[in-house]
Amino acid sequence: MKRKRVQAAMMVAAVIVAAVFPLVVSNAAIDSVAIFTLMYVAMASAWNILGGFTGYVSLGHASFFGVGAYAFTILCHVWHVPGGWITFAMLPVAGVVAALIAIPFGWVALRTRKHTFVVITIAYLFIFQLLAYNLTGLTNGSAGLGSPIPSWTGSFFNIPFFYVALALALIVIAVAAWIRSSRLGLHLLAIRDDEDRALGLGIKTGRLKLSAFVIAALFIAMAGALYAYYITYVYPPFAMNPLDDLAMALMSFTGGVGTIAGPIIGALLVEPSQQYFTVAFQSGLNLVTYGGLFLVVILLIPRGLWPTLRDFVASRQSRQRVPQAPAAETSVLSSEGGGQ
Amino acid sequence: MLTFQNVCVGYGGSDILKGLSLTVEEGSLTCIVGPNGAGKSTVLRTVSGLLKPRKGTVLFGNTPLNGATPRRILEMGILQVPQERSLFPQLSVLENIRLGGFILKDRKLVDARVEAVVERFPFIKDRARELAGSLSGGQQKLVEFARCFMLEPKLILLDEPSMGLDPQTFRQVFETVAEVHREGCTVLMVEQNTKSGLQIATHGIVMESGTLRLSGTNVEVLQNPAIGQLFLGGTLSMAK
Amino acid sequence: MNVGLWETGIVTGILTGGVYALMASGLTLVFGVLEIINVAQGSLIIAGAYLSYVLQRYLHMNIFIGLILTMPFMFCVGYIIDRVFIRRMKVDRVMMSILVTFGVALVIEGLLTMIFSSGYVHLQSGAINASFPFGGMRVPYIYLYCFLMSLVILAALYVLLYRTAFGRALRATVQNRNAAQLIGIDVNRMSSITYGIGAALAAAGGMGYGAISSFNGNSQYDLISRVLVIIVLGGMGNVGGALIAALGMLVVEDVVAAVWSPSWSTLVFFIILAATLVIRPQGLFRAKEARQQ
Repeated sequence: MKRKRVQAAMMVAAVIVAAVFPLVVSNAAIDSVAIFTLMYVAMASAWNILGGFTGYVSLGHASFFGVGAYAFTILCHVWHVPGGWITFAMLPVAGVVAALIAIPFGWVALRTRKHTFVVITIAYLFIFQLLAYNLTGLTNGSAGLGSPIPSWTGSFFNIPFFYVALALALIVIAVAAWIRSSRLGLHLLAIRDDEDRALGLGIKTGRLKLSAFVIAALFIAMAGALYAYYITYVYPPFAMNPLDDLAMALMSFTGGVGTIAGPIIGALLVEPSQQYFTVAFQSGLNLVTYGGLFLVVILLIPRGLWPTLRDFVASRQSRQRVPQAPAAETSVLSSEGGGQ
Repeated sequence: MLTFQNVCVGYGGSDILKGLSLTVEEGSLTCIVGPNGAGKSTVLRTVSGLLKPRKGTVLFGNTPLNGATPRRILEMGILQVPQERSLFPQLSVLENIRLGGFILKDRKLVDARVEAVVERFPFIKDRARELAGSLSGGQQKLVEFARCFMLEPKLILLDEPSMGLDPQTFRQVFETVAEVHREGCTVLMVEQNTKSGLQIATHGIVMESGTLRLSGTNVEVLQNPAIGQLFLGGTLSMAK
Repeated sequence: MNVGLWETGIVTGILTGGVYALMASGLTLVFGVLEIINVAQGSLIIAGAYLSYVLQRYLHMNIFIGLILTMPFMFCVGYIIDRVFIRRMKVDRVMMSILVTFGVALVIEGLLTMIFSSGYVHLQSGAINASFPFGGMRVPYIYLYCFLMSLVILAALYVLLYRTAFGRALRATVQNRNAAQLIGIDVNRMSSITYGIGAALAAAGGMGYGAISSFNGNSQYDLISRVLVIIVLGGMGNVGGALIAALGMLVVEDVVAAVWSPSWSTLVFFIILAATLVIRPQGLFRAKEARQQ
């Protein structure tokens, strides 16, 4: 109970810090990094609902980021939505479009298990990228499309985007936390532990996996739509970027995959540093630094920062009280004498 | 012949063996029994070098095994037949047998040993060219067992040899184990089927939650009232 | 309709399919032995292509003869990558390996971009400009030579896997890693050697790729996605399946490119994958037996 309260307090503090951030820091470049970071908090948290809870690591959900970006831009053109506050209402619409598209793709991919699934999702990214290049009537091909231009300018420009990104991130985190604590979350974790046994216990694994796949696509697409609006332009290599796929997985794993706090921490650390490397180093060296740092994190703390830190604190506390064996990894399906 | 001194072993987080000490007599057929999760298989995996002790010493004769690679341990004459299938399903039975002598450099010696193994386990001859994966579970277990004799085993570690076998194959496997033991090979066996296991054994070891609970000759162990309780009134009481 | 277009598609498909078979065999072999998905294979292929480029450009070495240097070099690179990065992974190998090898791929791509900048290059050889008539069209000699090179290397791989003691031990490791360890096979060393072989195959495949098309560091994404599709279709860990899948896919792609439009041909490639998986989730050919138990 005490830990719950501490976590809630930390959460509230983080939100307050985030809420006043753009009012205190008025540097446009830094605010821009903050907007991207919040977007990635949302994306990594959404990705984690599928990749973390069910164990189905998708390296193709960046395609739904692109689908969201294109759906937003195209629908704004078709419906003549002007740039302004009302335009943000198009984010959920773009999200729903992507979610609908995600259903058949998820269905096909989820027919396969673990490693084949990963490969299929990698292929998806390239399918969508090719579609973006080739469906010129819809996407204007490699020339790309312009999104509505916001009606506000100058030093105020970043502010609305910041708060919308913050709201999106909070919504995704809330949804992820709700799923995690609900029966749905329990069943998703059961799939991760042992899918066949979950199936044997009567859990409708197919439908649940697909739900997680589509929910992740929905929110990632909303982030994509926000991105398209913010940079006022969308074209294939930026909308469907394999590095975004890696980024979402990397952030979740850095922070602690399968936890609520993990992807948030991961995004807060990774995105600003990546932005920094891109600016500070020549092309090539930024990749070396990014990839190298990534390797160090994955190999040294494979479980991620948050669980490692939490266990460290927990083991120190328990050492002060009664000496007891450190709690094993939480397993939903009780492992009967596993690995004796 | 084999001694554990205060050994602690675990997978990452917590220890499975918590300060285990035990001895296996040379020439014995020792059977380890105990409830699920007691760490029985972990003992075998520690001996064969698949797991490294975090604390304590494992002695084979007078040689410490700590830190030796699985291959080094194999060269000393300790062979393990694990619980799960350990044949190569897409290779023929004969190829599987031959691979048992993988660490031998002398091809002629390998040829001679293959011949000796086939002579000893005649059923292999009929199935030599078939893929190992096409044999029944019991036959596969016997081939795994036969494969040990490609090297000169001093100590054979058997992990639940009866698992998943029908009664007839079960008897066959146990008879083979007893026969090999009579010929002078020390056997350390983990067996879920407590009664049958202890009956063919010369010595018994009872484990519980990673520690030694009881050890002695098979009769001593079988007749000890404490283990009846340990198995919650299981099959042991019938052994009298 | 124009029969010549179909012919072109089929012939170039088969000839380039050989090169893809080379790249895919390395990837599927590594999956079989190490039980990891080596996402770095794409960047290793490009690294191999750049090595050939350096030898040909600065030492004026024939690109095929250059393989005598690039393949052993890439073998060593692969061996070291396994020792330094892959072997460290203990838990959740399949998932972690994707992330780790993706990290390795980024570092390699970054290094290549630093050294060679991001401009596209392609290999030079007399055989690239010269061509021979076939049916009603002309096929550049380089396609034929690359195909023959692929055949030779794949035949050597076959002999290594099926006719040597090393090959038997390697196949044993693929089929049952734990059991291989118990009979004294050093699976760690086997893994490093296999990763090295995968990288050496990438060097040869990269040379073929660089001779047929132009490339830069970024080309790895396109390559790895195609090669992954091929090994999934071929059944992961199944070298023979990968060869057939590579030839089949490239023929389909090149026929579509010839009779319809090159811009849609790659998409057809992926659509075949999706369609196949709806019918047979395990790929066209059976994946390695041990996986299914």
